Amino acid sequence: MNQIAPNESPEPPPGEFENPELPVALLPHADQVAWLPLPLRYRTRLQTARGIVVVFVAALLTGLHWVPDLREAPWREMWMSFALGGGVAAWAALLLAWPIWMVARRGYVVRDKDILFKSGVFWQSVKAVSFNRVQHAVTGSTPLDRRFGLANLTVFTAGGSGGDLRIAGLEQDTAERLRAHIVDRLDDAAAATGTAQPPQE
Amino acid sequence: MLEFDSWRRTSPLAVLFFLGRGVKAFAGNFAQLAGTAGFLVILARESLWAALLGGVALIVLVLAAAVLGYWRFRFKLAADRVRIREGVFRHRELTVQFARIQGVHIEQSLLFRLLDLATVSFDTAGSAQREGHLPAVSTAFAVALRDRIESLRAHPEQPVAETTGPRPPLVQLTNGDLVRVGLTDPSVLTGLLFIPVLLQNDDLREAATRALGIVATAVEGQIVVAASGALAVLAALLVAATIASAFLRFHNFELRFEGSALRARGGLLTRKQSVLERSKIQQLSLVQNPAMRLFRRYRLRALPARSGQARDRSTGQVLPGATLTVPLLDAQTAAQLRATMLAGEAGEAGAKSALSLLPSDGFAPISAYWLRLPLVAGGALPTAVAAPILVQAFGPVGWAALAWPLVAASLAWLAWRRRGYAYNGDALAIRSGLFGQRVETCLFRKAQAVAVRRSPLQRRTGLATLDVQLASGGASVPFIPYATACALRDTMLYKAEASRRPWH
Repeated sequence: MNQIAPNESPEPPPGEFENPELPVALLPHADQVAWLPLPLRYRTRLQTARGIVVVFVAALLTGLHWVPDLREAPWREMWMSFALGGGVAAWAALLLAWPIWMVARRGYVVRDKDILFKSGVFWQSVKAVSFNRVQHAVTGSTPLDRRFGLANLTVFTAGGSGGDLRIAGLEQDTAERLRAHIVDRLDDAAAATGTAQPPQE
Repeated sequence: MLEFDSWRRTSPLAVLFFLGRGVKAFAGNFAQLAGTAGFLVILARESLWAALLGGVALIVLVLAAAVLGYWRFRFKLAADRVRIREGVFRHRELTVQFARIQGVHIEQSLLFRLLDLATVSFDTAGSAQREGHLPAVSTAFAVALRDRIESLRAHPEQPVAETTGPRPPLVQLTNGDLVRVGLTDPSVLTGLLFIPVLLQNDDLREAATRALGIVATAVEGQIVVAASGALAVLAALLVAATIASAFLRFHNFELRFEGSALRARGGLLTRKQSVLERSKIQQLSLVQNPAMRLFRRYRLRALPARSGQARDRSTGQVLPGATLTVPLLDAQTAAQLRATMLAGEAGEAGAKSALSLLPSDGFAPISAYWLRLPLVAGGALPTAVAAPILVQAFGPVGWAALAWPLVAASLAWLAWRRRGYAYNGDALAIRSGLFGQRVETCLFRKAQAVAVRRSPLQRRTGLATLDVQLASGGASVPFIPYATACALRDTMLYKAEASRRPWH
């Protein structure tokens, strides 16, 4: 059953090949790193966007007050109006306050070989993508992002449906430099494995 | 045999290929098909001749498109690539570099086999390229091209392949095996599930009732006997159909390991061949449904990186590229195949802690806290909501809803019992299933991205979920100890980052 094909990759011959066991404890931990926070502007940017939604919904609900056909609607009773208004206010408050915790919980680290991103307030996650598995990296920004001088970075690997690692709310300059760095590392990795892609026609 | 640097056409019989493609494209678009059929029916009500004329015009159109498709199709071979020009109205030129080809398929329909012709198609990875086809080339040309592509792929520096003698096949299916493939095909169950849907139709129901009545008089009025007999006959018909389909797809199936690639051949009328380079395998998926358990057999699929172009029409999902399927194999062969497919990995040679592919042994269970979500969200919560409503609607009978948590609990327990994971220094295996079971195996170094997730419950109980993103899809191990998840993630990152071998 020992059917190892010859010349599958540039590797040492079997006699010179060593494969010592790895002490897992000595591997670099992906948690004991100094997380870089996202700029606080990102919080304000999120709150601005959500504020617009809140104002829109509030205006819509207030506008309903003057719709003649709805004069007799059951929720026009006093207590119902108050309950509804209170609910909407609570929802708005939570929506506006949420970025405080959300942005505080997010962080990223660029290591020599990979990039890590942590996120989540209740459902927390730490995601890691190695540079030598990256297909391409993209930066982007919405008009609102640009007003705050922010941009997002998306890193794509093979097989993922969308971006595999997306960091929103980076400073524009940081995002651009990160993207350039990742693309650089991509070429290094390709040169190391001998899978450098010939230029397309 | 191979002629380089000149634009060539294929055999005129390629018209058949373009015809098939045109019909598929037309019929595959359901709205288009329904619209055309509807239009023709309406036309037929007005005037039969007009409808006939319309039908003929349609056929002529499709035929003309096929002929034009053939006329426009040219290809040119270079030492390391093939260029294809095609397209009637929208011209398209495609360059496929041999080095980037994931798999070569040679397909022969019955007619092509008689004429010694074949259709060659390539799978390429990466979203930038499309799949290429060379329809109706001579078999000798197809084989020569395939050998050339494979030799270039295996030894980029030396274009001449040194051929090793043929090895005995790894898997060979007998006719008995094919019957088993048909018997264990889950589409029988799907077919039976369709019966109630069909009976919604009044005409069909009436016909069925009448047929049942005739049978019932034959067996002296015993309607239950008649009904179960009819069902049995239907089931037998469906089983016969799946067995026939198994023969069509996998007749004389054999899997060989040649050079550095796995090659599967099989099929009764259309003999299909698919080749998958071993180093391009991203994931092994071993499945055993309840029917297969009776035969103690499994089905194995080797998944390469998704090609990024082939999409499922109905769901829009990206389909895997040249997946290699072994429809039926026993435990021992599965273990052997796994060793072959993952061979060359560091830990495999030592085989110190051989990782089993089989669902039966060596899997660590996941935490029982996993059960909490299905018990609450699938059992208790729906019952609490539905029981009062049902009692109000149906009276005391509604209390039967209280039995649902028991059903949900036993299902959840079954699913939990199947969940498990195992790993050695190089690979991770994940087991899951409910009535059947499946094991997904992947190499650490082929991980594209790794994530450790924790819900509030998992944080309280020191657990975590490990998500592995592969080029062939994703895999997830829920509710394992946090320390294990972190160690697995760190090892995977290390293996992926330290590896100097190409991952695809």
